[in-house]
Amino acid sequence: MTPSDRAGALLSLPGLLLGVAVFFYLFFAKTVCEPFYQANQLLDFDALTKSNPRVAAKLGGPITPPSREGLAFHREPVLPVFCSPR
Amino acid sequence: MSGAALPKLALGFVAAAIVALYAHAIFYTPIAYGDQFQEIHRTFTWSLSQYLSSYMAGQGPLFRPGEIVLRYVILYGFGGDPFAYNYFQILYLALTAIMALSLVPCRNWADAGAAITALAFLFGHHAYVAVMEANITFSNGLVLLLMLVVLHVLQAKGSLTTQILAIALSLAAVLTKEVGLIVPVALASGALLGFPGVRRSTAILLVALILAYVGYRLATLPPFEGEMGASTPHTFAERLSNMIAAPVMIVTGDPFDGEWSQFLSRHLYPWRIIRIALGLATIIVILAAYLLRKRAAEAFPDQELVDGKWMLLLLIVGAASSAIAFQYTRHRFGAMVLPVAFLLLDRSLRILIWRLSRIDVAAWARVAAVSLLFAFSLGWATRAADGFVVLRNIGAKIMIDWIEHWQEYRAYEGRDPGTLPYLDASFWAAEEMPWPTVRDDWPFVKFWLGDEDVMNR
Repeated sequence: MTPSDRAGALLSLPGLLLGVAVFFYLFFAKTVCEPFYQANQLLDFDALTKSNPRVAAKLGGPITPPSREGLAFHREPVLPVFCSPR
Repeated sequence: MSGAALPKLALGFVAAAIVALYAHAIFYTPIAYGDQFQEIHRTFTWSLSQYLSSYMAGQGPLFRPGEIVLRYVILYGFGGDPFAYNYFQILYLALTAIMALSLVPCRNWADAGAAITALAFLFGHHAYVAVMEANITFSNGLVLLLMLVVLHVLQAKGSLTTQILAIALSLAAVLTKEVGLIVPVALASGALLGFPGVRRSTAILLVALILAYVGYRLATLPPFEGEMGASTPHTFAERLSNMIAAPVMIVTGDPFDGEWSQFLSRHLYPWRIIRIALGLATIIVILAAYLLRKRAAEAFPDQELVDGKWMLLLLIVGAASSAIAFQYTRHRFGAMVLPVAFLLLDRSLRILIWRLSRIDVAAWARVAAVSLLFAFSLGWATRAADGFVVLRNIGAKIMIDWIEHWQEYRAYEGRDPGTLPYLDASFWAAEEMPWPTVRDDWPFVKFWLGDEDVMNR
């Protein structure tokens, strides 16, 4: 390995470490537990009160969701495996 | 396995990892209401000709018919529902990576180190992440993608096919968004600077296109009336301020949206200092390679140098971005400069690595120089990781918007009951998306990785 190759390999390291971290994160997220997302809280007013008190105070109560009848479109999303909510 | 195979594999692995990371967040980003819903509804319920004629009849201050065409291509090309926008964005991520990789050689580890760092720069730059909002992806983002193709065109042999491609790219860009003007400017300038890909006759046609576009824009469209926010200029001084702010934003990310008053009033979190330092360091790296061009010519072919014509092209593209800011400016406008900067950064790093391996200096000086380059590469890799944090925050912001403004959305759209099945479907589509746990992120993310400037505020 030439000196410039050694320097280049050193410069590659941060990107490669990022790549390895991404690989393990995605593998873990898709098979064991998704650490950066959890089940949706759009209709969970208690969760909103904890996570965003300003919006919860503004609304004063849970929102009334629309009917699921007659929707213009629907596609089943591919959901990950979630961890227990923190 | 040949000597080049492992470096190529490493480069491809890093590119795939960044695309996969961003795509993961994009896949879980709900459809936003603002700037999206009414356009989506019209695309589903109107014919293309009806939409275009309505758009042209009620012409506001913006001329973007290409955006409308793209909405039909995206919605009907990717499954016929609003998730199509997410799929289009994932395709955009992949195409950016493929086009970027096609521009840089990878024959050894020196090439790989330079290309991996340049790739982290491209994806980690605040302007790139900012174009990942859906509407922006198929306007500013499309122009970024076209600029990557422009770099191929400029370096091609100047065949008839290349000339047709140059004109087609220019038309597609200017019809999509104002910043698309950068594409014909880059191609025509390239011809004048001596790049082989664009013939003089094509350059004349492109200049005519630029003049026709600017003439049409100034003569027929009404001016902005402050609806674009504080960055909408009205006086000459405000326009000048925007035009100076635009290139400064491209390099440092500040002042946000051209508002100088925010520069010192906002908190100087570490991520902001890192962003500014990395932007300035990128300029220094490219300038250093330019100063080394004669010595570098001993080891690199002309096509791989950072010479005068490339530096001028970078300045022209930067100046064109600045000129467009006379109308209004945004921090994401730097996106169109990124392809040229990406290519020059790759070349510059290769030249610096080569020079450092040959220069006769004390060991400590060599170690210090290589350490600085390593810190530079590490910095851009962290910015690429930061892009994921930002995309999650964009998703979280859209979710909260659906909750906070749901009654307003429904009251507004309820004026036309035909829209409600689409609005309700969009609500449930958001409800079925995973929830980004940004509130639970560790404090170091906020201080070292967070980039609130890029988020959809």
